[in-house]
Amino acid sequence: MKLAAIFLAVAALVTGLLFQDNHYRLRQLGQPADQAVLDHRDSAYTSMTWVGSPSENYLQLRFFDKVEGGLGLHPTWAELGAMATAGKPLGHLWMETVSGGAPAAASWPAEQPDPGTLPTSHYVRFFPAGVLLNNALVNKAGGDLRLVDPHVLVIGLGSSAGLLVLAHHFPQASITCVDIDQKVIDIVHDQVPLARWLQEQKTADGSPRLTLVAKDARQFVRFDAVRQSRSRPYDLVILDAYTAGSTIPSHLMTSEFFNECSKILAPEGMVLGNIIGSYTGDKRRVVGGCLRSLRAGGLPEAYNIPVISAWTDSPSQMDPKQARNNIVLASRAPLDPKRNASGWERLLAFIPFPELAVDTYKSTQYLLYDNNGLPITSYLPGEAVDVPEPSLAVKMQPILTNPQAPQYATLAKSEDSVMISTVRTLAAKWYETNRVAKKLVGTPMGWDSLQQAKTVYRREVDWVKATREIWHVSLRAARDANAHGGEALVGPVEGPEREQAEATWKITDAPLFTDQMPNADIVNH
Amino acid sequence: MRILALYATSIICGFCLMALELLASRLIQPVFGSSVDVWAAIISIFILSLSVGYVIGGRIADRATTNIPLGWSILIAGFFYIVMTIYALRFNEALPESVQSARWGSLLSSLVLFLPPSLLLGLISPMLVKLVFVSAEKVGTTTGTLYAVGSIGNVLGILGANYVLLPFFALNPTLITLGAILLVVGLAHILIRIDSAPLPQDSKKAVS
Repeated sequence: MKLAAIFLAVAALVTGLLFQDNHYRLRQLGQPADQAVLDHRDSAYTSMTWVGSPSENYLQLRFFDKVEGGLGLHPTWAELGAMATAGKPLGHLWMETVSGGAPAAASWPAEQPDPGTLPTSHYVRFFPAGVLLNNALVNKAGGDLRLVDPHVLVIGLGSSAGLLVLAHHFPQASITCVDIDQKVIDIVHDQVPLARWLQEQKTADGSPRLTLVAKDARQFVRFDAVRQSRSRPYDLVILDAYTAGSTIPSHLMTSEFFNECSKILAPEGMVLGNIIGSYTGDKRRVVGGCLRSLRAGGLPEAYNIPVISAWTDSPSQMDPKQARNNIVLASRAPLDPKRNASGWERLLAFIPFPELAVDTYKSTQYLLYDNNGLPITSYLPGEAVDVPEPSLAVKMQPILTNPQAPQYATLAKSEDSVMISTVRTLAAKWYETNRVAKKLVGTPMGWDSLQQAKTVYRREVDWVKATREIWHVSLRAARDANAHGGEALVGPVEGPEREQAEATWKITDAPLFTDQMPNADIVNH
Repeated sequence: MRILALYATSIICGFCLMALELLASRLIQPVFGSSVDVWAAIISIFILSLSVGYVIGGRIADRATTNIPLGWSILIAGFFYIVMTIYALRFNEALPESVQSARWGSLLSSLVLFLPPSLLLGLISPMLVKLVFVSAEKVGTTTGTLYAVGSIGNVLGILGANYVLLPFFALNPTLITLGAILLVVGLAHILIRIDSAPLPQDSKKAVS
């Protein structure tokens, strides 16, 4: 009996130590085959994995298996630096540092990717909207965006992609970012040299360009932000805090909290929130509830911009029931296109990343499907096929030619068996020669069942084009229509009024989130 | 009948206790945020209060022969549930910034807010043990069943708070309702007397 007890104890320990599962699962269908883990950390709140994929041109921070956001591998910071020294208007990324002069490209390990500022996640591209709609701020700078000096508070750091978008376009911006998790700040500090470097830089008035603070946002707004706002009120508060379960922390989504935010804002300052939700259907309550709670919290002018991102989306085809990222804006000053016409003119004239050329930073991938239309492999790197056999790409049939949709991605397909077997062979050969050199993690998922492939797709994304098109398509859709007027009808609406609201994309039954009933986390599920 | 009433008391008090533990986050979060510190504070203070309650409740139970101390404990606990709606948030907001932003701030807040009601509900466990006691041969069965019933109440309290109370009701009405339930149960015990069974003679005394 005693022996059995000892055996059980030892067996339990050994099994646990041997078979513990603490690694992020990379080998999944729908992941790029050349994806590599660059860093992995666990914290009290989440488990973070920093991954990179050359074929998809991204570096991403993942919380458990969820993609928080990502930065393009290209242009790298070094590439941006080369452009700046060649006289391209990128000098703002190379402003004088405290330590003096531009940072040396070799200040971080050569094998570590040095992401630039171009994001691969969609919603972070809209952070500049919170500055461009602010007439007082832009007029103070005489309309020159390089001189606009917004004082920004960002709640929720993530991969830092959104901050870098802001820092890229507004070199005089002084950005403070508060995140509850010190480990998130650490991983960004270690993996994004640009974010690290921005912390050492100062704007013209001597404020740091970027400050990262580990604290609960509610506490930061209550004390630190109030103190800072006495000398200089904030122009923009960005709400981008999500838990590892992809819900918004409920105490950061109440009218009381928004009221605290409104108190640290300049008269024309605004709150910009990234809210995942829909206009109608189950997920409407989050977007509507956020708008309603912002209004109740002392920011009566609220407006919503749905992020139209997938290349299948077009404004007329958008499904109001589908959950998507929404950019919720709220201020004391008017935000709607009619009453803030100059702000909207500026928004629509804005060119995201004006220095970067289209057709330059692209990613290409191949994907094989079986005859049931299900993927049977990971995304295969385009270079495996396109470099040895460029004619294959030409032979494929383009699909998804919706003139209204964003055109940043092209999708082509073929069901020709010879073509499929060629793709298969080329990809296999590429793996044989690159597995060791590129430190690939095992063989791609579904590699053994390649012979079942019946359809091959080729997908190409132009990341600069993507950034600009998503910006313009989403903003035009939000501006034009009564369709996306962003007016949240509050309280229950039934009968014909409800039907009409749904037909015109108005949000009904928006709950009011208060500290007494702060259920943004529950409603979100 | 008497045993059923005692089990019902155990289930209701277990329910209210754990419901409060979940609602506690809503009282703490507006001021202290939602960090892990907050949950550590809430859970540790509840468990600490219970253990202190068990000790004191045991002493009281040894002296008591009726359910009247039990009734008073529940009654006062209910009182705290209700008045908490008046002072909880004000207390947190009145704390100086140095306390509010300290990592131990939520620990202090939880101690002040949740120690009284959870300690009072901790008192009742040993008292109930004494009241359900029938005979020395059955002591394992009766206390085991009592613990099980109380734990079922805990489970119902957690699930009920999570799936019903938090999504559909605001914080203050919920606390007042839970408090009112405790007041009724406490009053019932004060008004309807239950005597504890005579304890077996101490064996040493019996021999001498």
